[in-house]
Amino acid sequence: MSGLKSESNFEKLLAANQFVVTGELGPPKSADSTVIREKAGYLKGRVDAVNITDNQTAIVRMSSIAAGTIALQEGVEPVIQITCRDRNRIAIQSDVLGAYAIGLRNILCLTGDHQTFGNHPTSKNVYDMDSIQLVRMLKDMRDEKRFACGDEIRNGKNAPIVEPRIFIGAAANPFADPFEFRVIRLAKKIAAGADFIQTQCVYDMARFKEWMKQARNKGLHEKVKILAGVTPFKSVGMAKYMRDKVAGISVPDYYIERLSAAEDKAAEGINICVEQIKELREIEGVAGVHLMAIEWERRVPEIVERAGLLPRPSVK
Amino acid sequence: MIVAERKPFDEILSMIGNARKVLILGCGSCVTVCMAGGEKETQLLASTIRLSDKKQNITRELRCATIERQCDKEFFAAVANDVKWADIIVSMACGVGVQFCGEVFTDKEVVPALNTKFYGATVEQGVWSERCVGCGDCVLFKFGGICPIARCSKSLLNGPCGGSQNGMCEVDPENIQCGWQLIYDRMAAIGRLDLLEQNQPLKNWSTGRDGGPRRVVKEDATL
Amino acid sequence: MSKIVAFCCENSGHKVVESLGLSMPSNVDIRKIPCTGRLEIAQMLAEIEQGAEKVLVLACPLDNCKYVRGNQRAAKRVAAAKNALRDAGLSEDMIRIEFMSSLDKHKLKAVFVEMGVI
Repeated sequence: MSGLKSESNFEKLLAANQFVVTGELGPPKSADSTVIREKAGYLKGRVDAVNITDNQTAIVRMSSIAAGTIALQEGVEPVIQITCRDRNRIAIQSDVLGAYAIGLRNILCLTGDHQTFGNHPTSKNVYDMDSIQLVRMLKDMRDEKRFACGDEIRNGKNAPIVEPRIFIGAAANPFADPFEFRVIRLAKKIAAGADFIQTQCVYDMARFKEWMKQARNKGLHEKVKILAGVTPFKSVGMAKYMRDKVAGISVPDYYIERLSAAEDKAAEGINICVEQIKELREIEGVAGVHLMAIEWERRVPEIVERAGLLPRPSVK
Repeated sequence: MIVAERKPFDEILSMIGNARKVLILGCGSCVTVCMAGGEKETQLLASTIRLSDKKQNITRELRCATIERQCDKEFFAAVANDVKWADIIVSMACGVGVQFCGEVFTDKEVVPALNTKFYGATVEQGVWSERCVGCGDCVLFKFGGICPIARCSKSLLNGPCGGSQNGMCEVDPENIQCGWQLIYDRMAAIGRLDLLEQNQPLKNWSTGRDGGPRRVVKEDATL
Repeated sequence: MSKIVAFCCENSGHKVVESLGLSMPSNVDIRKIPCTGRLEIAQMLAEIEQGAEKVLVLACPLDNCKYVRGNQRAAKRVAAAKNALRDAGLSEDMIRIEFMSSLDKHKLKAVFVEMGVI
């Protein structure tokens, strides 16, 4: 296939206009690799790629590159998340070279949760750049074959240029404020060089559809592959927590009522998730779903199957 | 101005330790305005120390003085005799004044009575808030006069993160306004939303603290 | 006898003191001030340093100050002075504020009785 930017299987599927499914895998809060292997086992063959989170909610976990490498050994294609919170441009570029050399092909660029939310609230943050500048930096590394400082990516004057050919992603949150700025920000991410977008979990379908409409009006869905985020509710408590405590997530009350009325809350949570995936699939410009089953990876096979997304396609 | 607030009393007392002649030196500039280290605050601190000493049966002499400002050498001359007398100087200036006091009186121990917080403004009586981080390369013209570096918790230059809700920042939804909501509203009001559609490149931080301690030389003013 | 200093607003507290028609014991020092909003934190502490056992501030009712917020300021400064007393290892009860109109004779009498003035 021509015109590909990386050697990512995930990119190939998107380029072939397959409706893709990505999963999420949170590395362990220890040096225990068996957790990753176990979670990868649930996801292998059920999703096309798996996001490996980067110290999400600012809690120390195994590095996303290390965990992603283990996932890759287990036959899962990782999407390495990189946040701007903990590393400056020197460290991030260095890590990207290393990630590519190991065989990692997808990177999702994030701003990162503020450290005050995590388990080291007294630490210093970095924010040398924002996620949009990070996207641009990776694009310049891949396409211009240059570091952020302008130097060529080569080990010496006579050494070959070996650039990290990464498939570059960014996140979008259609639910945060100011709402009018959200599509502008999406456009800026695309202008910076994002190849794919994964959104925050969609519960407020009406607002998401409005955001997609604004994106389509600007033709953005043709410039970037948009994957809609979904997260199954495990309980009423979790739904309420997402509604009340997580900034930038909007959970309509009827989901909470529906879960409250259900006998088996977890099963109902999965029912809701399956319905959401089916509804999202019908929206013009949605190229796939990003299934974030937070610490619930073992239920992913069931969700993907019931949503009619199995077997996963393969692309040569 | 530079905004500061007084350290807890116990911390100040432990810095003074066994010193028996203590000069409490106020500053008549920024910290007088933000009511942390001016003449009134020197008196309050001195009074509290005397009451505490009396209770503990400690014999200690205290003197209070406040000079115009502690960031210019000439004003220190007025307190030279008090300094000579003192075992220790408790400076109620910002961190700049504390250090400068020590540079002028090199043989005296100088300790800080304040925690220096930020460059800010009086938003209402008794309330100050941060406006500038001194990055050394002002970008206010790009953001409608509202600084994303100082006023966004993550110093983002290309728009708000996902933690902006109802105009507030998720880092402290009670007290911190989302800097990017402020920028957006301002740009909408002045009809310059187009500026926010431009991608801002990586910032050169070397003009700020990241370039090492800074210095400004104005040639025509030097002797 | 322990010394008591009473800072009295001329619009309220001081009028009540006068209307009680008491001859104040020698240990009670009545100070007439134009508004309790004029009172500085260090001023209250200075009285204690100089031997007062109690400092009493008699201010106008909270919603009725001739200078709009003088009494509210006084309340906050009394709180700050109490903090300083705690810092110094002393009892915050050494400083006390009471709000009363010029007619509140019974209220002031009760305060004085409680403090052992009368």
